[in-house]
Amino acid sequence: MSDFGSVSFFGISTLTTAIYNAWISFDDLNLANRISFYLLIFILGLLILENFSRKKAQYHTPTKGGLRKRKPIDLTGQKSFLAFFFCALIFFISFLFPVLQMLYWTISFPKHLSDLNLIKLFLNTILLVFLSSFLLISLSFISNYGNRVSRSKLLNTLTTLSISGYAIPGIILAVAFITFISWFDDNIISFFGLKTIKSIFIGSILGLILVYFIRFYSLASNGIKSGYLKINYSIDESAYLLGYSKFKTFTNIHIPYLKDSILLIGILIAIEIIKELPITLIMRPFNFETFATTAYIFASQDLLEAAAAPSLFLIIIASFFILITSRFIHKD
Amino acid sequence: MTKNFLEIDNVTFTASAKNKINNVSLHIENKGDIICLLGPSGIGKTTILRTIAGLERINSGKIILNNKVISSNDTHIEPENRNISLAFQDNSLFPHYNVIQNIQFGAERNNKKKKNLAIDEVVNFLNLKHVLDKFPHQISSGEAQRASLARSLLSNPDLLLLDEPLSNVDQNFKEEIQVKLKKILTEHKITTIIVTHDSYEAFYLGTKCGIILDGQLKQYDDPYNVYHFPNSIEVVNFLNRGTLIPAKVTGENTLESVDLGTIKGNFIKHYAKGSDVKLLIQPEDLEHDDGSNLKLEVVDRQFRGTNFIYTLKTPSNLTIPVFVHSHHIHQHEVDEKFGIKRPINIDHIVCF
Repeated sequence: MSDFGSVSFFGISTLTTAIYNAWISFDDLNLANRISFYLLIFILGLLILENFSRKKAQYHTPTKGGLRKRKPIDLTGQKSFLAFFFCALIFFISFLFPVLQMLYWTISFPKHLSDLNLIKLFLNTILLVFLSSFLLISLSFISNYGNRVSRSKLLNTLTTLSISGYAIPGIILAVAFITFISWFDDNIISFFGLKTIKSIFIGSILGLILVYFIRFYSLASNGIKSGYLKINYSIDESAYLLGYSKFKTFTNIHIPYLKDSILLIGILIAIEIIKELPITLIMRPFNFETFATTAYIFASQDLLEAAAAPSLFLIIIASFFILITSRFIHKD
Repeated sequence: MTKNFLEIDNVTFTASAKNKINNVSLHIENKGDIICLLGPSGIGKTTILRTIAGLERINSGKIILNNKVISSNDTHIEPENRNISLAFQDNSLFPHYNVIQNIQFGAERNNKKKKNLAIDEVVNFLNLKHVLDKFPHQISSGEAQRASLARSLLSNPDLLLLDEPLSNVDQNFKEEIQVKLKKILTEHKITTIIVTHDSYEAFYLGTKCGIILDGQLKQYDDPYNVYHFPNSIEVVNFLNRGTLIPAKVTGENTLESVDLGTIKGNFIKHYAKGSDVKLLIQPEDLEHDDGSNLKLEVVDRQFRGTNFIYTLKTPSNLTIPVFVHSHHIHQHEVDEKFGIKRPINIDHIVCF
């Protein structure tokens, strides 16, 4: 339901594309909100269904030694060939063929590549990645650490609620954000006779990053949370008893322990953000392009050859991050 | 102003809504004293340590350390400001630092004050040299426990709290560490509270021992007194070092038992002539004598290296433990008869 790029390119009408068109093509925020509401109801129904299906699930953790490593099956002959062929086919269709095709188009039509302002596109993409990752990781740390120290039920509930953004399509979040800012500006800001804040939050880097924040907060928060779960609380207590304040425990014990997790979360956020489309398209400042938006704009005009170069760069950056991630996973 | 180093005054320690130790009052008189708290698992001994360390709050009573109220209904000094160190029972080493770095965390705090113990000294006595470069997940639980103990010792606390400090340490190495630990604590005058379920460990290390049972501090006394003069049947049962047999007081220094006949000794409490009492018989109270006409049946024999403990069955089906030196000329098998020396003289008579 969150997908926008593919369905939009193939001209399939979905609720997500309808919201985009209502806002961008018809400039009708009310219609966009109404469709968002229907989509939200549908998502809520799915969440309830998923929750219901897990209700009676029970999990057992075997005690130490209870976990047996499964012996890998060594395939030979025809079976080995079929397994290799199947995996290679997936790799070919999903990665190799599109990349080779894009590479071919990029080399065949060098004009499209030279027309791109690569440095600007790269800097814009990296700026969004850096600012969003920094904000997401910092605030996730604050909320998780706050939860750990205060053990407040209220804070815990708020954290749980705040991670629900990932279940909501980005396009709904963007439209909801614009609606809220417009309402706040029209009713509260104007009531006090203050200068409008719409331009600060709508069509700005700040607004874009705030919506990214809502969308991807669960990624950062859950990542930090699972890192924290590995730190027994008695470790914090040991630090206090060695004379460390709560802040010093955070900087000297938690941060060094979680540094690998932080990097991994940063990379995951980066991968999500560089390919994110609907939020960026709706919230970005005028003339602010990333590799993803540039590729989308060319593709939506059926200029696939022109879309090849930015897509290729997007893949190169994402692959670089994925390579680092897989190294961390192997290390873990 | 109190003359005691640590004073716990009428404090209720709360582990959970159902698990509380009520109205505990105890004191540590002198700096450098070691006290041991004994009690069954899950009674809340650890909660006492956590509360003294400042990790838990109290709602009644007060805790005074060095003439300063550190916990009360309206005062709570944070753990980091108490200079109290607690070595947890489980592995609480910092997982991303190796053993020597973990130990240095304790020494770092020590450096800010007067230097007391040297790292090398502690590392050597706890036999940690071979694991200094290893990380907590690479060492055994016993080594981790010793490393945690080293870290706590080196932090030079005003009060050291040890929660089952040697529970994971191998038996052959345990006694050696106990000796060295006692030496270090005594030499450096480190006031310590040790929680343990091992009464031998408590009797050896402790200047005083506290017995916690049924949500109360039942007895707080010298180890000798706790063993020989338990103040309640619950303490006797908990220590499990004797049997209570029915007897009748027949004189100022005599009792009559259906199972053992006349018993002489000094009563530690006065009982009126003719009173029915329960007499505590500990393994060392009775002497073996092959020539005696008082014979009881052997139901079990435990070899303990230096001695045997024979468990004997009396005519009224009670079991009595009897201590016999390991080098005694012969052994008695189960079901054989075992002679008890008469007349029975017990140094101190404990009755309930």
